[in-house]
Amino acid sequence: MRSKKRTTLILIVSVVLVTTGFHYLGWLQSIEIFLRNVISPASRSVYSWSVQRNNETKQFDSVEALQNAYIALEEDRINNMVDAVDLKLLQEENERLREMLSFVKTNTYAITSADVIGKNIDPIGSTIIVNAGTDDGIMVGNPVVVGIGVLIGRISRATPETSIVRLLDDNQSKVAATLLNEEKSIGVVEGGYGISIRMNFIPQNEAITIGDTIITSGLEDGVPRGLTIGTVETFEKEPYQPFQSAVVVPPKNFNWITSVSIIRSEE
Amino acid sequence: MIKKIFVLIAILFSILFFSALHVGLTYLLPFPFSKLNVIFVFIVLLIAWWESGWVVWIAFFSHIFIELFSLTPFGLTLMAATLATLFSFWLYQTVITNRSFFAALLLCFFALLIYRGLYTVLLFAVTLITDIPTPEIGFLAATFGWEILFSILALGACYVAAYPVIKRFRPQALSLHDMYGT
Repeated sequence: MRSKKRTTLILIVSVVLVTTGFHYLGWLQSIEIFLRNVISPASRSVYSWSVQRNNETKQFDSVEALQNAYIALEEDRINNMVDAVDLKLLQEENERLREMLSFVKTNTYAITSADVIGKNIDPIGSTIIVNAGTDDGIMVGNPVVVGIGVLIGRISRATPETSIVRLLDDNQSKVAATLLNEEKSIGVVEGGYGISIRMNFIPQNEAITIGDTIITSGLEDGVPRGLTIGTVETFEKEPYQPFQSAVVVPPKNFNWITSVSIIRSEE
Repeated sequence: MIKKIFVLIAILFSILFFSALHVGLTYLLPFPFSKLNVIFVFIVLLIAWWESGWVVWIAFFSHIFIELFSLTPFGLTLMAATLATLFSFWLYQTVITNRSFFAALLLCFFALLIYRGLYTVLLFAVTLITDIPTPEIGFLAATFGWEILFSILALGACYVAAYPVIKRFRPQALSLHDMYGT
């Protein structure tokens, strides 16, 4: 009886090890692609439905809360209109200055659009799955944005047809960032187990204000400067610590993302 | 022969259905309800109902699907889940032999405990040889705690709902009269 159990255990461990070995040798690739193709449409439908349901069920506690939210949105809209005009003028001025200085572009970027087809189900990661992969030129490390440049994460694994995006709130996520305060402080934005995002390593002597915007610093390969990461919600400053840190609120809820753009570096 | 083919098709569809349900509920339910492990609820119900070693292979193939949605290195979840199912099956055959509602709940608890225990050990082993940072044990424990709690509750509900079927297929449920007509 004991010998039979030992044989069964060895057999099962061997089968799992052989399957794992075949996966890493790429011999299971066609089967995995087939299974992904079977699962992806269903996964995408369920994911889209869950996002739609979450969007529809956003509740306000009272009529007053709804009115306040509306007033805040109206203010934001007017401010954004003013900012858009300023931005347009600055872009034109920037183009003129670049031409005058014969500025040589060191990096060019291309964009690939993709739909979110699912979420990671591991307890240790905060990731989403998108329907673009190495066949579309996607590589590990490519930044992933929504809207007109809101960074949500980076590609952590790419297969020919799908990729896994590690979101900013993932525990293993690290992005070089700049805080748009007076000193343009540099730090690292790190995730916290899928529940928070913090900007760490901000020098102690530099001032942080709640509401300051955080953008990518461009100090990392393949990540352009100026992608929006979020705003400062609160910060911690201990006199005995060399650095201070800030809690960051992303402009987009990561649970409601249905489509993304992946920024690819082009030599 | 035809019966065997039907059983095989039913098993394949069950694997697909419960894997899809597991992934779907993770998307749909809010935290911490999303931690419910549908596949293990299904596996424990199968052990209680079927009492066959095939359940280990069902766990193996279900978790190949799950590996496609996983970020951890391929094989980690597969190894932990398959071995946990095997050990749970042996546990049901030798230790938790009382075929009752509470035995099923206890088996679910131990199955998930073994699964997540093996998962954690393998995960820490993997962090030694790869660049994956070491996960915080408190965070893992909290997540697995939710998973065990909601899976046991779901199993309880499913067991009650499926009780007539489970009872009908259990040899112990047959009376001497049914067997020998005496």
